[in-house]
Amino acid sequence: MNIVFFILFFASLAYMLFVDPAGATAAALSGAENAVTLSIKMLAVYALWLGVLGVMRRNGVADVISRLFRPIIKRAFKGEKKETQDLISQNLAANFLGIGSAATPLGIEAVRLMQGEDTDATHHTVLFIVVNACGVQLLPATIIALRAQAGSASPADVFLPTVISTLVTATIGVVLCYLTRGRCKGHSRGKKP
Amino acid sequence: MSAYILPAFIAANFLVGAIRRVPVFDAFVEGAKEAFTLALQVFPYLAAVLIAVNLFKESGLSLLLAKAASPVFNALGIPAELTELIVVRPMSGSGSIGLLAEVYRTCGADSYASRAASVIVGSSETVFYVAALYGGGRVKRYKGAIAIALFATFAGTVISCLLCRFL
Repeated sequence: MNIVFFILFFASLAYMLFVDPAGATAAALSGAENAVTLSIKMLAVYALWLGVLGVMRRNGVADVISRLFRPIIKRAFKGEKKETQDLISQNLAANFLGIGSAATPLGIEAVRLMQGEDTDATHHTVLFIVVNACGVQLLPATIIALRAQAGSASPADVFLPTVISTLVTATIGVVLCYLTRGRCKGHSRGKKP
Repeated sequence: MSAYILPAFIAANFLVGAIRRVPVFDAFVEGAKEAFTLALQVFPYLAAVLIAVNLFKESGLSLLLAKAASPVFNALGIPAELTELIVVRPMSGSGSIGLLAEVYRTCGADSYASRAASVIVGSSETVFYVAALYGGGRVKRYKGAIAIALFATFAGTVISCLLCRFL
């Protein structure tokens, strides 16, 4: 992240010094404003979904969802606490349904539990972030709605290629995670207290 | 269809809770308590990423990079109209939706370029945003997670363009 951040920041600013020096600070500030607006929006989203999750934990629905994904999660995230594995299951379920906003707080919490005090991503964290960053949603609802608005004759005909492409992308990501897992220290440890 | 999923899901949860005599108000508040800490913790990471991304876009560097990458993309079967969209996609969700709408407008919603663009956007995520958000506060070194996600996304992009020729 440090390298990416440096390159994006430095190259953009250096380029702007030539083409539009007056606009540089304004562009940086408007980026920060985006972060403020987004954070406030996310605060609202977290309040709603963490609230609903609070209810789900007490009424047994969270358990049902966890049990659904249990066989896969137990293997891929072997050694993590049950609480963590449950959060991962719920995060995946929300992603499949296309409720990204509900998936986010669950995912952040899961990463926090997997990392403990460690600041170097563990193999499980890498795997989890990659699966989420590959967009495993199965219903491209927003895109279909946008196409319909743009006057498409059959807006939903992108459904099949989208699903195939999503699955292929996620599979490539997961395979790469396993191939490079030696880079994560103590990748076989997994069993944190 | 998706308009029904969310409200129905939440309502069903409350109903199940009520049937099982869960104190739903207390349970809700208990969960929502965490919201503020979470938003506060993630904010600085989000700010850093969004400032960098905005600079990248506003400076015109993203367009420049898209132009430079165009011949490579062409060789991989990616239509020229989609290069900027593909460069912006991992960085900005709203930015890529804007560019997608632009492709619809210039090429027509049912053209090959538009269908490929739809599949590309629909089957991928805002990689940098997800990484910053999920790692926020805990992960300092990503150990290749970002590189892997970017590579997989790009492979998915090439496959999307290919799929749209047949499907």
